[in-house]
Amino acid sequence: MTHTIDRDGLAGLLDALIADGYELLGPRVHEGAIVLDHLQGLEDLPCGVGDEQGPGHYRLRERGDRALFGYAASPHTFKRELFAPRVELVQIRRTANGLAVTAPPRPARKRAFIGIRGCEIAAIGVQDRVLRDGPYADADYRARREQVFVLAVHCGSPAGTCFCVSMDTGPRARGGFDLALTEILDGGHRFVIDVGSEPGRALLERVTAPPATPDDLAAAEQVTEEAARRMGRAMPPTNLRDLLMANLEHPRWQQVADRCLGCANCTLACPTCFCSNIEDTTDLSGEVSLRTRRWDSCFTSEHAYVHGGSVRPSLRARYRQWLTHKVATWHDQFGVSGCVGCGRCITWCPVGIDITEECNAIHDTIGS
Amino acid sequence: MIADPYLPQPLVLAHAIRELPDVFTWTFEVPGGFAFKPGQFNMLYVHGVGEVPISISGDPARPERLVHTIRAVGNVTRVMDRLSVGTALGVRGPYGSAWPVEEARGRDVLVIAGGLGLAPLRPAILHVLANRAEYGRVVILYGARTPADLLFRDELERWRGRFDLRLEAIVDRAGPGWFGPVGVVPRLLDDVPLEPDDAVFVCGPEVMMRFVARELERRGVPRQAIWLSMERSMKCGIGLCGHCQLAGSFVCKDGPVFRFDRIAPLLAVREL
Amino acid sequence: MDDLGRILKSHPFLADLESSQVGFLIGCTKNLRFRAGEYLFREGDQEDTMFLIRQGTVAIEMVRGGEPVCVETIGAGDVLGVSLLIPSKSHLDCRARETVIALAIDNRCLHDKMDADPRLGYAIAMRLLARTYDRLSRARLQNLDVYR
Repeated sequence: MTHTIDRDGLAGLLDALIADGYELLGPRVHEGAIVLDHLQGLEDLPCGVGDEQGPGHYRLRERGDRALFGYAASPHTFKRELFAPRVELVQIRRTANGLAVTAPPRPARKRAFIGIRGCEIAAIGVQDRVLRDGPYADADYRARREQVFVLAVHCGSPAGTCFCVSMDTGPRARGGFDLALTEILDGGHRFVIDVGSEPGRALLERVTAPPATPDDLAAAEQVTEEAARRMGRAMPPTNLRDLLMANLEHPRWQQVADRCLGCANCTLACPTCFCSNIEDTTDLSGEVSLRTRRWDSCFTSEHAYVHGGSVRPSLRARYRQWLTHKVATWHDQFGVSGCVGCGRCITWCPVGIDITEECNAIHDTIGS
Repeated sequence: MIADPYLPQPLVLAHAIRELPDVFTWTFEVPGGFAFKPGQFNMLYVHGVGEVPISISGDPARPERLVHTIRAVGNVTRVMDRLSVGTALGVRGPYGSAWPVEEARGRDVLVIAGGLGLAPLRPAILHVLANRAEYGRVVILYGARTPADLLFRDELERWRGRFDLRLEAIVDRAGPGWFGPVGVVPRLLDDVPLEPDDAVFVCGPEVMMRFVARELERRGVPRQAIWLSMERSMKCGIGLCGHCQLAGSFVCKDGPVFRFDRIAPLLAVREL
Repeated sequence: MDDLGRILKSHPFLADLESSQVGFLIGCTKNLRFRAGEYLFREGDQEDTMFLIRQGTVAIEMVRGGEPVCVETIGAGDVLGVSLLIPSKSHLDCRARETVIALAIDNRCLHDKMDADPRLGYAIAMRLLARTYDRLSRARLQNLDVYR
């Protein structure tokens, strides 16, 4: 069922979530970027702010209107909330006759993801397959995943690096939400809102939300169709998995390695990257030791280290590993692509490497 | 999968023996039994130091004794080498895929090991010998650096003495006092008749396994009849940290034992 | 074909050669017996003989710091002295580990026969090449010292 709400209605939804004990996490302007942070209410959302994104380029701009969601991917992803950068896994204490192993408490926290886009919802779905639905589940991820309310936004303002259409993850969010809204500015600032679950429906009942009129529905559809037409790039129209795995020695890999700095920004910005490391620390007495899971990156030289050296000493091999994993071997491992077309890796690469350009370059020169 | 797979099980080190100057074998006594399949590994945790993947080298029919053979090559294993009996360690496992001892029933079995690679194969050998009637010819080929580096030498000599198997050992170099062959493991294959229906288990340094596989193929053994045990960097052992990837496989859960036809093209790509 | 010819023909190195070609080699061949510890040839000796090992093991040794190190063993069915085409002094000691029986083929005689019968020459050369390739590839693997 689809409804329409106005600004006050949206404010009401946010307040109702807070009243129900949810921490609101969503976009805010901070130091020239839109970051994900705690929201106290509607007034914290970036009003009239838009973004310009390109390879290695990110700027905020004044939109000249009062749009609350008039921008695209933030440098932050909601991955930080579910697959946290630093998590205590286990505490181990030396005892008189052995070791005492204690799992840290995993307090239930109710979180609401405000303004999450289709590409990121798809990314969460991808991480669910990796970290929660396999033969072994990450307990911390699973616990955090339990009580998340998703208030999604169907995109109306793609930035220059988006390619969700090519990866079939947007601009409209494909499920995975409790409520999803399309922001309409023409003819009165309002939001057409889709109900995606029972908790979403229940929340919506607490604000004024008349059924959407045919005009509202048409306006909403136009917003997302217009967004789909403004994609700046696309992956080549082919089976990416087969393309890359058949071209592991393509000269393009060396060409991109010559530009790549190995800075790992792409892996930090990507909403699906899941590599982690486990670190051991002890307290001064040496009695209590902690094992901590931390974000890691396949670009580091230690990532593939075995006795005798790294299996991937060259940057060329490590770049190839990242990209082939992301768009090719991820399919073999999890039955889905690891890329959701959010464009963050392109925006946040200091030298502006564009993975769609790399894949197209290989596609266009097969056999070279 | 309700339990948290990151929590280690504390076990107390019951026996430790030195095999070679830098190799030692640990035994834990597990009254309830630590069931495992030949080829699987555990993540062994040393309090405050770290965790490493180590293949289980014991007898799968005697799960009350959990055995690991370890080489002191890195930070954690060098500390392990100095730990005494009675120390508590953390154990997570068993993880990984196994040598296909069921699939090999009714066939001739060829076990080819190099260096420390004999340790992950030992449980498979023990299983085959304990169920000898279920298998055809059994041949074990083993290569080491020098005669002093032959792992499990006493056991090798006992196996060699049996009438129902053939065992040959070769070393890379030898001084006086060694009357066996000198050279590389593929050299031992020259004198072994091979059939397409053989089941071949290979474990050793990766370049040695590639050489052996190449030789087996040249002699008509199909790729589907050969299994290798691969090694990659491991942090979690359970397919969550991403370190052990070999193209589309995780060595910790799709391996470490791989059927050769599934990974042969990958081994040919440098730095994959 | 007499005894020596029959023995030559049954050695794996000459397998599938025609009887007449094998017969051609009889004149170059002697059947030799080495006691355990005896050298087939030593470092510095002119390499003028190819040995087809029939029985026993030969240790190929190189002396380093006074100590002989065995770097390879050659057994029954194999061939020793593959550097037929290039007259050279041996860089190796080759010592019988136990009683070794070998067919010793004189290189100069063999060379003459190969010149006289090009088809025989081709067959022998191809076999030597194959054997050398095997030795080389295995020596390279050995050189990697993979167990370190």
